[in-house]
Amino acid sequence: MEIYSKYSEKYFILDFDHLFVSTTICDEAIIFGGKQSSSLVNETKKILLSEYSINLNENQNLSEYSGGQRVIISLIFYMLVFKVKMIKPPQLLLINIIESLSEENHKAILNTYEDNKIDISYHLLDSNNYLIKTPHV
Amino acid sequence: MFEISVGNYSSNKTGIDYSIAQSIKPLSNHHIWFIEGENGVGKTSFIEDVLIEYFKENTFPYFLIGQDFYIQSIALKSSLAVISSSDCQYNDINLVMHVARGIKAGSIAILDEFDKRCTKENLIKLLQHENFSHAFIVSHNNAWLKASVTEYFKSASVLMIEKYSSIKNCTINETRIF
Repeated sequence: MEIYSKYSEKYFILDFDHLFVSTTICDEAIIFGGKQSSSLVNETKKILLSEYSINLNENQNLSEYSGGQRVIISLIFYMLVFKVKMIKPPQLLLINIIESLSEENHKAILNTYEDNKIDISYHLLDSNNYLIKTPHV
Repeated sequence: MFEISVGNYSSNKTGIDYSIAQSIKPLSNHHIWFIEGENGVGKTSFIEDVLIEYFKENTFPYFLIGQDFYIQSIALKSSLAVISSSDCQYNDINLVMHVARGIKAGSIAILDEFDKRCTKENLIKLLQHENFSHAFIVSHNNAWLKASVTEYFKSASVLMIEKYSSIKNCTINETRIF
C-alpha cells in the first residue's frame, strides 16, 4: 500500500494483486464506462477473442481466469476505457504485470496498444520499489 | 521417491485434461522442474489439481507458494500473529523463508511465479533451503534461473504444457536440461 500512496497521484497503477474492483467484467464496465459500458464490454470481448483466444464471459467471475489471462483482460479493458471515454492515456505503473505474461503475449499486448493508437509509457518497480524502466509502448 | 505415471489426468476445477507423455520422477536427490506454457494453458491447474493431488494422496510433503500469494500471505501472517508474540512485519521473501524453516525436511517446493515477488538472489536462497528436496517452478522469465541452479540442483528438466485438438486438452512433455 506504500507504493499506492507514493505513486497513485501520477500513475494509473495496474497491480497483479488488485487488477479489478468488481467480480465480473460487466460490473467493471459499469464503473469505468458508465453509459458506454455495453460497447466497452463488447469491444473488450472482441479483441480478447480475436487476438488472444480468450473467450470472455461477461458474467463469469474474473478470478476464475488464469493469472496471465486476468492480466491480459485488464490491460485490454483499461486500454479501451481510455479510448472509449476519450481520456488522454495516463502513465501506467505496472506491478507484476509484465512478469505474468508469456513473451508472445507481451509482444501481442504492445502490438494491440500500437494498433489502437494508444500511446502509453509504462513503468516498473525494482525490488526496493523505485521506478526503474520507462519503455515506450 | 515419487513418480507420477504416464497417463491422463483431469482438473475438476477447470475441466482441462492433461496427457503426461513421460512419467515425472526425480532423476537425483535434488531435481528441479520448470513448468512452461502459454498464458491460460493450465500451468496453475496442473499444479493444484494434478501435482498436489498426487502429493496429498501419497503423503509426500510439499510447500506451495501460489500465484495469488497476496491472499496466501494474509493467511500466513495471521497464523504467525496468533502463534507468535513478536510484531511480524514480514516482506514476501522473509515471510516465506520464515515459514519454510518450520516445514518438514525433504518437502517439495512448488513456486508459482514467486520470482516476480523477490530478488533473484533471494529466490536462489529460498530454493537452496535445507528443508527442500525437489522444486517445481512456474515462471515466464526463467532463463537466468536455469543457469543459476546448476550448483545446487543435480538435475533439471522442463515440463512443457501445450494445447492440442481443443482448449481443454493438453500434453505435458518433459525435456531434460541437465
